[in-house]
Amino acid sequence: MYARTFGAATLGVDGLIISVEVDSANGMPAFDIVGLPSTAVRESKERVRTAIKNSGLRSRAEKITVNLAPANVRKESAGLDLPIAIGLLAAQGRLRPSVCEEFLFISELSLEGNLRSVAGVLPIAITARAEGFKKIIVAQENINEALLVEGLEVYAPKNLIDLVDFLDGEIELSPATPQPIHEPEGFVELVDDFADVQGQFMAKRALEIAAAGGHNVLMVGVPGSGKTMLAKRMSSILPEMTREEALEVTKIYSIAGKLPKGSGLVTKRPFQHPNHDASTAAIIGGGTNPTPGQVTLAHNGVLFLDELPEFNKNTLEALREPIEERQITISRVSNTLTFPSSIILICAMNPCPCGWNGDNDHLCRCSTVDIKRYTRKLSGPLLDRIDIQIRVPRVKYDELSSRRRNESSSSIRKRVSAAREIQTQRLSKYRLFCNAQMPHALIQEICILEPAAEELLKEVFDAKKLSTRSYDRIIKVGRTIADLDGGTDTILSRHVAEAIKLRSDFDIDS
Amino acid sequence: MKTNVAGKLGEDCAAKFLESKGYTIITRNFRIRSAEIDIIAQIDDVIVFVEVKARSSTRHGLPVEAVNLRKQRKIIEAASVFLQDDNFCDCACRFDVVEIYLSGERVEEVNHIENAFEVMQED
Repeated sequence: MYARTFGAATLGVDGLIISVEVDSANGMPAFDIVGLPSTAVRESKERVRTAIKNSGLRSRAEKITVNLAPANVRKESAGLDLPIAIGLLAAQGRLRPSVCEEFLFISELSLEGNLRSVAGVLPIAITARAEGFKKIIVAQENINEALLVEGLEVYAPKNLIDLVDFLDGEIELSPATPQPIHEPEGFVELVDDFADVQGQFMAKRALEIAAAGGHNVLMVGVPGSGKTMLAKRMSSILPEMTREEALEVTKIYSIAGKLPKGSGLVTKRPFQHPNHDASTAAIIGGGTNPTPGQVTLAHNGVLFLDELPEFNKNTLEALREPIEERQITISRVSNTLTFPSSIILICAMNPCPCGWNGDNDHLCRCSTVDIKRYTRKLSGPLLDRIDIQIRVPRVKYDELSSRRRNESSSSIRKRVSAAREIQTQRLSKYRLFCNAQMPHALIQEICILEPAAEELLKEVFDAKKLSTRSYDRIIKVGRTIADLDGGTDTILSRHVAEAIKLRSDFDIDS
Repeated sequence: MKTNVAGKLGEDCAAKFLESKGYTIITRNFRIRSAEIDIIAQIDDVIVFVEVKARSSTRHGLPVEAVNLRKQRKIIEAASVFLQDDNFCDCACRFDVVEIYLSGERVEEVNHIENAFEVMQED
């Protein structure tokens, strides 16, 4: 007999509904799965059969054929265990096929017959809702994730036998409600706050401006000057994510399997901190069936690259597309996928291999050639996309030992949010949301400098022999500073002056 | 006791055992050029292909372990020839193994494993 159920897999950052067709007929006993299953799906036949047996149900030894449609996409998800098991029971007459087609089943099965959580439930639930499914069956750890999608009835039976009884109408299951998340008791979460950073006023100001305008930052400083500490606090001053942004982030985390078990919406902005020996595929995403990389995991948050020149040159060049386009397209033989990557890039590096170049109290041991070789990897095009480039000096003892509390992240965040608000109003008609995204033409149109500012910029432009790109960058950062200053219509000379300071201080490419 | 004698003894014993469980024996020692099926029986419209393994000691493993992949393939091959027969071509079928534990010429224990193996998916 034939039966059909619905399961799902993921493709890129989206869910893909899979129609699971099961036929069980007389003939040589066999269990074949066709329709491009991955190894995890192929192995599901062992889990399915054992789970059915250990649930006290019987499956007859017949010629069983399972087809996963659409047949041209490779299916990776172990969440197909449950639709296959239900389909098999329906095909052998144990369940009514018509009932089974009303649900979307997403769960892995244990040999015992318990439902297990799988990755990617949120994007699958979103797709299911869009395709008109009303009821979805998941494991208990996936309840909160599935419930993020409004208009879906979520059921989470504990095991296969409960589910079979439910489908038979023998027991009632009530739709799941949000589950409280159990925090281990006596656990104090350490929050990174700018109040902990002593000194470094210039760097803090630069990060505030970067957060306000979505600008990328390069910090150059001697070892131990606090570059990493500063970068880690960046997400604490970015405005709170909107629900839409939070859903995007949760979706990506869900697909990458990085969502903690049982959790729902991710509300903290991501902070990704890949090690410098990370491969290009790990950073930008990849694999035969492309999976998201660090630039995507940092979507709507911060990607921090410490020791920038230590990264592989190809990796650094590959960053250009996500920075520019706010998304990354990965092409493989099987398919081409686009992942979102709207990030603020924060880079840190030493000025030279020994680290002390430019410090007043230490002698740099590096030759000019050493320094050249060290910074050579940082190509002009990459540095061009980093609007703010600053030096982070060594902290003085007096500053360090001071017990004075500095301005907290939350009060900086208020200013940042206000500046973002101004930008949204100005830029939303161009489908942009922060100053860093303005193209050249738009800068000409909407960034007006007051005459004194114009004059100042001209002077610096001629004296430093700046490029057109550098000119644009100064204006963009100037615009953000003006927005932090209450959003004056014209950019004043003090704004331009600060913008110049934020990039000409250290210029590798000039 | 010679192996072939033990084998014959085991098969006779297995056939009797199956009949006592309500099976109808269709044929014994069904042979094609390269393979043989010890017993072909029927119960409730299911054709059962039975491989009998007799052992007097488990020094070289359990009897059922001797039905390895190669042996399974041969049995499946012979079974598909048998099923060409018009009378049986649309029947449900199953592959069983019957283990016979011998002590001298006495049968110690009979163990019937239903649905012991199935057709493998070729990759």
